[in-house]
Amino acid sequence: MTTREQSPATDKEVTAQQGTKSDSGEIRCRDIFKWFGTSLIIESLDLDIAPKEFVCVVGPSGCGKTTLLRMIAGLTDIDNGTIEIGGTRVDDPLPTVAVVFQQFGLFPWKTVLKNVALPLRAAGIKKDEALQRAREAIELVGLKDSDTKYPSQLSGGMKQRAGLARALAIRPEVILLDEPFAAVDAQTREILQEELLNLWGRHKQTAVFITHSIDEAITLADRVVVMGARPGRIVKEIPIPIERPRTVASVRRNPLYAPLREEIWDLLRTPDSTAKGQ
Amino acid sequence: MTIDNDKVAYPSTVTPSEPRTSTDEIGRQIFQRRQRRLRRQRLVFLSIRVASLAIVFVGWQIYGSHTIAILFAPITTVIHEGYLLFTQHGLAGQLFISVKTFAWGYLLGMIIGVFLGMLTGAYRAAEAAISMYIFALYATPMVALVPIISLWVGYNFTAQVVIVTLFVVWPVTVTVFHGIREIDPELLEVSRSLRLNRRQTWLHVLLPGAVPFIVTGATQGVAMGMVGVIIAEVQTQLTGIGDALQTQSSTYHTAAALAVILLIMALGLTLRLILSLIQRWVIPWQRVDRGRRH
Repeated sequence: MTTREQSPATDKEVTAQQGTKSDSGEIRCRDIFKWFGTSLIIESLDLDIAPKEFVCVVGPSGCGKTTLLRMIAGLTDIDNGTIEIGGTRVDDPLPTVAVVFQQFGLFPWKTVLKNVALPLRAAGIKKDEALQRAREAIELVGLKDSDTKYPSQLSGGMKQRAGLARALAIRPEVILLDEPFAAVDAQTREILQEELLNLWGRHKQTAVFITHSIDEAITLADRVVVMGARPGRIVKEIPIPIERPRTVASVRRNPLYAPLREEIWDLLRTPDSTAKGQ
Repeated sequence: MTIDNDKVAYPSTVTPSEPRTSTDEIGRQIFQRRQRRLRRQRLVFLSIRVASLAIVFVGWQIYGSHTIAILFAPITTVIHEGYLLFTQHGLAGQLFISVKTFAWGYLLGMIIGVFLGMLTGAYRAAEAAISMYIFALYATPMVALVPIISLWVGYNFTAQVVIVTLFVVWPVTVTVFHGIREIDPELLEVSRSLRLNRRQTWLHVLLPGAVPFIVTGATQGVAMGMVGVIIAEVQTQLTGIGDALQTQSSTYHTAAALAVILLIMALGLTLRLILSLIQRWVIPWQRVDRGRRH
């Protein structure tokens, strides 16, 4: 079991290291390597993400995209290279970073309100203020009437709204989403995409969003990072020059949509483009 | 529109020629019919239970009336003897002594068991240091230790409590140990991501996650603790229900001995009932799944 001891001193250090306001929320990955056992999962990966940029990472299964996200989140050791967020080197989860998990990661013994308030309490915020901010976040994602429910009483879509509320409640500079809508049905997925576009439009953070879905990536991202497998690495980075505010429908109607989709699809389905050295 | 009692009538079966019933009305009728069916089923199972009890009691009564009193006794005699034990032989006082022994031993066993289970479940170093002793003792019939405990502690109340504790502690420890291990690793990861410190991780994740297993351990502990009480009372100083049981059966008062056994059964059932009530209270997030079985 790994837990980290927190002290006010280390939190202050973190704040001090964040440097100027302009580069807070900037993610810089340099020469990342990762092995599982003896097999190489990620090879020499470099990735820069600007503050308040929305980046989607797509790639075939086993290309290491979730591993990359976990390394940025400070949940998995980086075997070689460095990741910096706002100038702070990532070794453990940073207080300015929030994660939305694929399987929601809600505590079944806590109500929605208590789940959302937990990271605030962990950050040392007084109980009343933590609950107040949790309520605001819950209202933001449209779960106001469900804040006293337990996760088992919620649908998949509502669970992920709660997961999103928990991530937003700490007012992070970076939000990391690991296939957050993969466990909900297709309609709910589009609704959640729409809501995320809305929320992100109003409160911009740097966002890294892992997905299998090309449509989802184009809908949400400023830039799509296409990864290849064996070993995982970046094949191409494709900017999405579709203006905001966007909706799911407006993106589909955009003339850029079809060619972008085709380009990404070609990159993903051509084994030559994803298998290395051929 | 009328509704066939055994088929669900969906609104689509309504033909245009019939007068139209609103879907709300149909829904309400379907719901009521399900409720009626459920009540009927419950009644059937209750009847089966009552019939089973009746058959056993009647069988007991008949068999008991046709055998010699040293071996068996009819249920009415047993109940009467039980009444006499309470009114004339101080069975209530003996019951109190046994419950007291059980309560102390059970409490100690639960506290030590939950502590050891959590310690070994959460910390690999603790597991490496002591888990082999726990599993060795768990595999040992505790009754084998009774003579040694008596030798060390004496033939007294303390020895009895120690014996009950020993019966309770190992199944509880092992259950809680496995419980901590089964806590979803993703939730531990979430705790790290939310930057919970060690104390917060225990308070918000490990302890609540272990509660269902503590309750399971507590239930096993009740069964083992009951065994412990009777063995302790018969094998050390003769006290409590153990005394009643031993005295009555060794003097061939079979009906009275059977009455004591019924009392022990009732005690065990009561304790389990209390536990299941506690369970509902401490695990409010776990919806009791009342799936239909056949």
